[in-house]
Amino acid sequence: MKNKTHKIHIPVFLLPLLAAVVLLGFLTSLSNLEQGQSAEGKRQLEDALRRASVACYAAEGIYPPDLDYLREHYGIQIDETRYAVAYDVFASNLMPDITVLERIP
Amino acid sequence: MRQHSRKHDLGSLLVLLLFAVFAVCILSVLLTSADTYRRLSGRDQGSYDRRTAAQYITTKVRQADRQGAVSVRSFDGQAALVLGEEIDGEQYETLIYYYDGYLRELFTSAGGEMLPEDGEKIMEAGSFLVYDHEPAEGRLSLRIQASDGTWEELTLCLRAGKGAA
Repeated sequence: MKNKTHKIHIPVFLLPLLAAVVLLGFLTSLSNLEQGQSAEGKRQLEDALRRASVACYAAEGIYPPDLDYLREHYGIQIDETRYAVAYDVFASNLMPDITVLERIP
Repeated sequence: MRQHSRKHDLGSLLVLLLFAVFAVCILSVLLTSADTYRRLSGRDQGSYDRRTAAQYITTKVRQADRQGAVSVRSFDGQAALVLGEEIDGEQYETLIYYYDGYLRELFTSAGGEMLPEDGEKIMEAGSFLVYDHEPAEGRLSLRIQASDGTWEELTLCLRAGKGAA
């Protein structure tokens, strides 16, 4: 019985080109995912701060006076190396202005 | 020799294809996980909205629970919970109502002419219904619809008792 080997004729540049395209596609997708994750992290921190503030108002009848109060009583954790938070209180019965900014590494 | 270098085994192509399939699998697992996380966060948000809204109303009513201080009144065509209080001899009211996708709170002097959009947004909600059909019993019934469409029912027995509402 004759041993058949499959050979196909492919131009010499095609295989490295395909490998490069696949790698590029993979790396681009990973990069997009990482960018989305970074934006999601900022949005989540802002949401968590607002939700904790409203939870404080619902339970105690006043909005938290400062960020430390949220950290101490509502378990909020802020990664200070990545985010800067501006927390401005106008009155105890008004929702504070909360702004989260991402630090540039 | 030159002709041989132009030819590649089918195996090389298969290795490349296998790598591509592997990369696609990794990406789809990552995307599926992200989607699952998003759905869980949404469910958590709905649960938080219902729980916090009920707690908010309860706290507000308990803080204002004095004889004749808790009532229900029509505000811009829909029922609003009204909590009265006296500060330095002046009468003030806190109105809690639903307007434009939010549960809102409006603190104003009694009889002040205010619009529904003047109220502070407390949290997102779908609807807020308050019933005063049992005022003589000193009970207050409320229904709050969270932003995800689910309802939370609440019945409060006022400590000020009969005639409080």
